[in-house]
Amino acid sequence: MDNKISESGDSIKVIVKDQHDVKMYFMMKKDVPVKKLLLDYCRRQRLVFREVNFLLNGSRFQPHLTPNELEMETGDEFEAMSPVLGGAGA
Amino acid sequence: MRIYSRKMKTVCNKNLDVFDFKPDDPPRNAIEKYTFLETGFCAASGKSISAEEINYVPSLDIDTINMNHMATTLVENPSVGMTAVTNHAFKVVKQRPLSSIELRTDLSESEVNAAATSASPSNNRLKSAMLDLLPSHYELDEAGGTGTDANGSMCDRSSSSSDVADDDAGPSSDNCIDDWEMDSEDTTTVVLYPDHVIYRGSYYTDCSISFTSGFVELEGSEVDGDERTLKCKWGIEDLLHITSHWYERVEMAMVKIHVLTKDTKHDKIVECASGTELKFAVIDSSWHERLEAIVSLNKTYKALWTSMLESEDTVVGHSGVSSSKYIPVFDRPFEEVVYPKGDADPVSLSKRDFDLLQPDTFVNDTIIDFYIKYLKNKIKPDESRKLHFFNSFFFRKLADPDKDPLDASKGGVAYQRVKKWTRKVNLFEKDYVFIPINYNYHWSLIVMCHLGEVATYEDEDVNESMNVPCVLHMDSLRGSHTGLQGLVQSYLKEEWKARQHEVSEDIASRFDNLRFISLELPQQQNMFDCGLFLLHYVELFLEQAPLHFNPFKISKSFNFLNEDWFPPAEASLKRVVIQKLICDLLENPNQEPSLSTADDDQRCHVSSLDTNAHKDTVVNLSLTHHQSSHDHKKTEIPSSSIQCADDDPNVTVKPSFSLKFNCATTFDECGSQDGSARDQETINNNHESLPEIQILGCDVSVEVVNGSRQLDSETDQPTLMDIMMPGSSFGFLDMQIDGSENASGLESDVQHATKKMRMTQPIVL
Repeated sequence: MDNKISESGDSIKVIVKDQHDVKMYFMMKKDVPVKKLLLDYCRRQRLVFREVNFLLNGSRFQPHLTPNELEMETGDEFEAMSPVLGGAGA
Repeated sequence: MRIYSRKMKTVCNKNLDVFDFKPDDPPRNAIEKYTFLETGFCAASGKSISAEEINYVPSLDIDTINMNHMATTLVENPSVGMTAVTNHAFKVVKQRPLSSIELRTDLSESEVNAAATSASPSNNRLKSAMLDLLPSHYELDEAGGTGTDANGSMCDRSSSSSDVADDDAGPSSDNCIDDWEMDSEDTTTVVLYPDHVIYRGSYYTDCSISFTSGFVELEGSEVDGDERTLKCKWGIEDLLHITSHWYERVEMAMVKIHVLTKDTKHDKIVECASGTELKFAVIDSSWHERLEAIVSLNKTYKALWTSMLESEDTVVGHSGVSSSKYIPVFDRPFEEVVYPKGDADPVSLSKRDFDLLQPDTFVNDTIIDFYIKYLKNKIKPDESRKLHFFNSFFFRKLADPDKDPLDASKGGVAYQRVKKWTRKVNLFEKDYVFIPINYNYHWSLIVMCHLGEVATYEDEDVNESMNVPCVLHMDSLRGSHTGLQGLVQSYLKEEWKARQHEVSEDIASRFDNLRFISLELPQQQNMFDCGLFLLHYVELFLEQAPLHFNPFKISKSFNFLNEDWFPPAEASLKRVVIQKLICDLLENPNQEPSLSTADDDQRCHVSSLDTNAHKDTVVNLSLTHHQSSHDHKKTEIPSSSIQCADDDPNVTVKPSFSLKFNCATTFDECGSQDGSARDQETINNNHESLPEIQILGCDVSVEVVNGSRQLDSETDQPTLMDIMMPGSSFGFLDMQIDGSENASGLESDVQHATKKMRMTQPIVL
């Protein structure tokens, strides 16, 4: 396992939660676009990346940015949300 | 889809009965049909299977159900023999268009009024879903043909319809779509197959309505009854008038026939000037041909139908014409619009989101968040610092979709779920906090005012204090989001506790009694626009809210946060406004989009076309932009999106009004109002509105049951996507259909509507 990332200065540990708060932990380098991680998450969860809204600590963000650019730190949470629609329900 | 198998089963049983009763005739028929079937299928299999043939199969199968049903009804009536059955079957097949697939699937439980609201994208999808299902039906037919299947009799029956058609139209069975004129008998009858008919306040399903030159005949079975069948026949002289409205986007026609009803016992005309109304909706892409056919049967039809035909032209136009009228004409595909550029949390819009701005469509989180972002960016930075806008997922996260979503006792857990969301923002320093609520496929808005005042505010200050901490709930379908109060209060309490280092239990408990006011605001007139109302509430609130907001100062005279706040059509027009914003963004990605420059020139001409003496009020809206880049772009919104409810024709339609997107009311005016003498009566009025929240709260249990079911299915994204595959999600659809089976009468108007919305909902995704 040469490419194993250790928790050090250049990498962080982040959480990706689904809508039921089921967590998945990821280690990621701080200079890699987060989209890479999210695509991996989607592959594992069998989701379609385009169909999912990801939030970072509750906010929208641009997935092509890196943790450095997003000023992320260890423990930050991504949340996968399915789109919500509404017109008239209930 | 399960509805099929269920129906088939019953049909099958009934058929066995039929055979028992008539031991002589049916076997002969069956054999005859059996041979026909063989030849039919041989012919079919001999040819290379073309697309038309594949298409043909479904219409066959569907006919089977209808036809069989007819067979049972007829046999129950001893005077009619089996030959009649075959004749009927014959007609059935001949006159059904291919689109009968949609007819069966899409609107099986929908209510006529709400039928207009079917989200159009679902049509195609449903159709493809249907096509996926076909093979199984096909096999079933074959099995029946060989006579080994238990359902043999039924399948024989189904084949009878096919072979008769085949026999006449030849092996290329797609002929059955349009060559009905070839047969002399068929030219005298046009049969429509609405999924259900409303007549004298009852719902009837499995209906067929036959128009002949001399009479109109209705057959159907009652929804909630003991499978009682209805057969009515009106001579052409009994018809008072017929109106039909064609909805291009959903390929559906709504038809109302006013008939004179004769009381058969006393043989005298029931005294009712307008006659009895017969309402139904037909999904049929070739509606116009059908209409022509009916009208050509007898000149009287033309006379009865003329007015609406004309108005159709002016309002929506005939098929193929109106689709180009939507604005903006924007077909250019685009990858993504990011707004605002350079922001920490920008909204990315895709073409898919953009398409949701078409009329009669639900809007999604992206549209909501985009427009709120736009509104926020319009505000000066020092003012917007006092505001906070949650995105449209906040409430979803707060209310646990898995469990009881609105359980107030779970405030602590709810807080934990969104703890990170407020890490960088202190809600208690904000003047106003906006939360878009999405729950049960409905949007509403919560505005939390002056939360920081809770600690210092005393109840005696109601009239003295300028800032009254409170939570406002703005709902364009008032009553559909009940039970939010407890959750919001307990969440705020937890949030407060987490913020303060030294928690005073006394102050924290004040949040339990935080005022929660459900406002009476302009209501949506259709089943699509709540998201636009949410945005309009936000926009006008931001423009008009005084610096020191006190909910007890809302008065009837002052046009703010009351029922006459704005004409409902104004909110519906937001679709166009947002479309234009996005278009501008696409053209000038680096420029802040703005509508305000054209404010004075933006006029909305609303002309009310009272098409008939009926209650239908059709609003034809045309919006003209005068702007340098969009010179005189004429825009039209199809009437269906703004059509007023039948019952209150005059409620919103003003002959003409000038619409300004930035309302003239300003902070200054609000301020002066602020300073004016406080109206004690108003305060009382508002107090009176408070208990109503509790009353509405009684609905909670029902709401929640529905809600959790909804949310569950909603969250299960992959499954919903699977709906296109055969066999995966029938349970979901079935649930919806089952649920509305016992619905009847007026109450089901709403139920049917929502049921259908939910049914189409996942497919819209």
